Amino acid sequence: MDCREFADRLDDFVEGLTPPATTSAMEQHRSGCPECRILAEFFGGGLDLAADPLEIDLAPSILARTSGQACGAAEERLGSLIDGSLNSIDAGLVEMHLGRCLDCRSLAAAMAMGARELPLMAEIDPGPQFVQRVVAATSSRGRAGRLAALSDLALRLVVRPRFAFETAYGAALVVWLLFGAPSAPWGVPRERALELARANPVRAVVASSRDLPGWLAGPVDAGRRALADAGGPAYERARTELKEGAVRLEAVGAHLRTLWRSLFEPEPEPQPAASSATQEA
Amino acid sequence: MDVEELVTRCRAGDALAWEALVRRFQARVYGLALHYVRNAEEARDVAQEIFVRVYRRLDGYRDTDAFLPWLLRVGRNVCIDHLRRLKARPAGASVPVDAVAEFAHPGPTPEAASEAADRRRLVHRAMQGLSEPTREIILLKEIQGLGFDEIASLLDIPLGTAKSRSNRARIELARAVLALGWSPGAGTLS
Repeated sequence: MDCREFADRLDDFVEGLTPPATTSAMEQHRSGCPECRILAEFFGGGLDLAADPLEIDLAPSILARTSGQACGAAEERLGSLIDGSLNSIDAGLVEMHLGRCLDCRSLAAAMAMGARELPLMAEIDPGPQFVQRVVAATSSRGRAGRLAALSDLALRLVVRPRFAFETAYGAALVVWLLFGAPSAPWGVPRERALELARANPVRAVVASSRDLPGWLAGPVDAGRRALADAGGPAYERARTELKEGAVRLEAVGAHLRTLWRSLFEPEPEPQPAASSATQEA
Repeated sequence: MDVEELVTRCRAGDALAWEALVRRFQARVYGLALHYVRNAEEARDVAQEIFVRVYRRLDGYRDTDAFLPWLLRVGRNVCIDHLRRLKARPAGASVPVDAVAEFAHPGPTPEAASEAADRRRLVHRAMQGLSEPTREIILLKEIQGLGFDEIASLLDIPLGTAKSRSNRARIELARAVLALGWSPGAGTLS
């Protein structure tokens, strides 16, 4: 059991309302804790405050039961106290707390030591030759100041953590504006190309040469001509073979048609002799 | 000579004025750089880079502002750029204690000077264990002596936040000093 639990249950303890186990624990704590013993005697009516008031410090126990320790409030004002910027009332309150609280007093002493020593750490000798190096490094201000400023700007941009992301974003935007936007100068009319391809793929391929942008049509035509020139004989040979194959295929087809007729179509009926005589007459 | 006068002459291209300005602020700028980068050699390079950047941006300095906060702002930016290039040092990286021997200032007696140097080493060691934001606000407020309004402007935080952060930082530092064994009655390191 700690002092806070003891203080919380003190009323019941004094009136004898605590369970036996709790009573035992509180009695054990009271025997080992002078402050809680005094507190218990005070609440139990067995303590004469006028007898020796200086020996009694009830504040910790009472604070534990009410607002809690005031160390946090004191810490908030320690900096101002050490800087001398705290008003007299607050300063008096904090100093009163420091007079009773060893932890806060040590903390304030450490802060005061830091306040004395830290300003002395502001200036550190960089060693000999430092000024000469700086002056040498800055001697080109008049001649190359602008170039140096530009390189400085570029360097600062490069070391920025988001620079790569921003560059990629900007580049993607430029590509979209040039090729992907509806009014892009080098964009492809996608809907029209899709319609052509669906209607007639061969025609779409042929038409693609007409739909090419002007700057691209020239190089493509030149490429086609160069290809035809380079593969001319082979192209003609393949074309001749295809024609001969087509002729042979046509002859085979005609033969097959003749066979079909001979097998499945009826023979033409012979003309009657009378009629032929009449005709001769 | 007044700092503002020196700056005016530097803008006009007076090399002697520039040298005087560097001499006047070199220790402070080096101290700032050392607290950020925590390495003596790197701090010298960074301090030089700070002055180079200040030199290039003198035309952008407004006379209505105090020079020291402007200088520290430029210095802080250079230090942060440097740390970013290094992918940032881990917090609380160890620094050779010898590096802070340069904190030593002459005292009335050799013993007093030695004790003062010990206290500064202790405070420096305590600072190494603090978080970067805590160290930075101690650096700006307690070491460099900036006002709360200047710190708020520099760190882009409200004035009240600057005050509360500063007080918390001082308390953290004091606790760190106590944790290292310092006691109010101790004159030297325990």
